Amino acid sequence: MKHKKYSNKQGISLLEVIIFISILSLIFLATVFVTTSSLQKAQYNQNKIKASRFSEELVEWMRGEKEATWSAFVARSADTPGNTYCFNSTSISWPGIGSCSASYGLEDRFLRQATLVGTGSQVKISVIVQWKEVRNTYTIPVDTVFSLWE
Amino acid sequence: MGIKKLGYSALEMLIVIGMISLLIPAMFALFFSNLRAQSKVLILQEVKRNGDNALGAMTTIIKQYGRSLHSAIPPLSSNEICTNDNPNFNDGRIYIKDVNGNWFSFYVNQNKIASESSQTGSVDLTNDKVSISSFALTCTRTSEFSPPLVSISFIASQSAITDRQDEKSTLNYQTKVKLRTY
Repeated sequence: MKHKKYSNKQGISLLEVIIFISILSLIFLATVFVTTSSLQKAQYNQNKIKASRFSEELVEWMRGEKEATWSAFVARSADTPGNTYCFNSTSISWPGIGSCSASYGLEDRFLRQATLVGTGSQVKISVIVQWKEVRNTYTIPVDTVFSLWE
Repeated sequence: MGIKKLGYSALEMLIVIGMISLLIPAMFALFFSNLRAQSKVLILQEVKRNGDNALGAMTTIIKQYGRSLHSAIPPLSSNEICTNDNPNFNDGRIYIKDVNGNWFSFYVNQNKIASESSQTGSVDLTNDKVSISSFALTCTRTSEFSPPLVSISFIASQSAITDRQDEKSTLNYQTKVKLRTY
């Protein structure tokens, strides 16, 4: 019994080490999970703010076009299903008729297109801004109606 | 026979310290990138809030109260712009006469959009956190029978100077309004 105080019982047992490491790794995993999901949410928020700005921007620009000359504006529109235009450039001007067909060219991330329906004195405008993130596609739709009031 | 070795060997300590030195920077990197992403969202929100507010205020006031446009004060018929004789104006500040004969105007003052009127003086429509550039208020008149059309455009961006292009929040604003009470 002379050697008892130098026996193996003095250190940390394997079980203790395993428990400690598993608790530690659980904490690390939780932290990483929370942080990455928070980063994703931040990214989503940022894109959503930008996307809603892009859609409002297009509606405001359309309103300007409508205020400038109604006849030129209404000529861009057509009866149901209407005309679809793709506004994927930052400086807005009338493009040729045609949808964006899944090209996310606005700031390399967003897709912005508008459909104009109606002839005569009322035009219905549906603007959508779309972007892809991780494995989801998000859309911001804005609908408005312009009519001739003069 | 000697004493049995107690404690940890140098190799064990080296491995533990090595793992900690890998984990801690990784955690900090995650934490700070998170912080930066959140602050970017806040900045973008602030820029959008200010821009929306300024554009909304300007369009509503011009649409509801604007009666005629002038290039100088006091607003007289001699300095009226965007009339039949003078259908375009894009060179200088526009003073807008309201239904009561008072005037108001919008201009950029120290990177903020200010609204000035003969009744209330000058009021800022945006705050210090946002700086306004390329502000333009112009007017045209498309035909003899239609009221003048006022175009508003500006760029709102964050005030803090940053070298990193991806951290810059810039939003474009542009619209056109017709005077309703012309």
